[in-house]
Amino acid sequence: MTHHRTLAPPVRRGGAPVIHAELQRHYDALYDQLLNRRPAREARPVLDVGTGDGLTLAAITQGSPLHGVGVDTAEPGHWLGPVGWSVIQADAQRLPFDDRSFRSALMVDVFEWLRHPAATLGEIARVTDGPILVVQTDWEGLWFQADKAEVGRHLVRAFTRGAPEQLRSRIRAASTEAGLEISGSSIATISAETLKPNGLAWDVLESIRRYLVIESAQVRARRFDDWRAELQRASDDGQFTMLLRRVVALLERATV
Amino acid sequence: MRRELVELLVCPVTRDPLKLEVVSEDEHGDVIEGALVSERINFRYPIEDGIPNLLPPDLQRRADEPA
Repeated sequence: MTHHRTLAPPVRRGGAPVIHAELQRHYDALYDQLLNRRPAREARPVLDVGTGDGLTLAAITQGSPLHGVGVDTAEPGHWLGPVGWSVIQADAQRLPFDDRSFRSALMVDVFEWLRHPAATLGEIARVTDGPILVVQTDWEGLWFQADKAEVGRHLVRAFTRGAPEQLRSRIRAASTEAGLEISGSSIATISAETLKPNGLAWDVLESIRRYLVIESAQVRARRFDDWRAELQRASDDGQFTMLLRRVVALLERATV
Repeated sequence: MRRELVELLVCPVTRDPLKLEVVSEDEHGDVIEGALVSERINFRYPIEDGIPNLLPPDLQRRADEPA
């Protein structure tokens, strides 16, 4: 079993700890749950739409329980995707799968490429039995803002902080047109209750944790400083989020 | 392409199951060259370098046209 260095809470000027001890115990329990209780592998596959050469998919799923099929309209050339995943060339508006073939679908930084986003979302919903996870990043932040994610029966939207508001609106409009259920009142903050083995949140957290670990040391170091400063600001503002705290903790552990 | 993937695939036009034709395979039995045949529309979706191309026929023809 791997032993991690105990995470010391950031210290405010003057020496007073920013993070309450009870809060830290809460985070530590979450990390332990995530790190030590790997779930059994879910049999049904996940669909990755717009997989490209598979490099991003490989980065975010390395060693994770996620497995499935990547599709892209373009010929992928040399497939660099993760072991255990298949890749096919297909049109996202006419997917070559039966209804409900997949447990869930991922679409990472794809939305801006879609000519008919509503039709594509509708087709993805047809072949998917679970939620569609739409992630748009700003290419800088690695984590999505889970406290602003919208979770409906059919769709999860998640963004990093820099994703433009216009894009968020377009995704919402296309989702509505496609008949997907999203609810603005269902705001999700990932917590111990939502981290159920085999759940999508669990798998994605696990995947992104590994993505962080395999990132280059240079990028990690730069982002570590940025995030640490951001964490401090968030704490000072009283808007501290578990996710930011978690990212910093994982980075600290990874650099030990 | 893994052979078991065929069980997951259907024709994007008819949604009928596809028939696998193997031209070559690797040491693991994965298909390298071959085709997936949709019998009702008499169309062969090619498998090249282990990657099946399941674009609908109209998109495949468009991709084959010279730029």
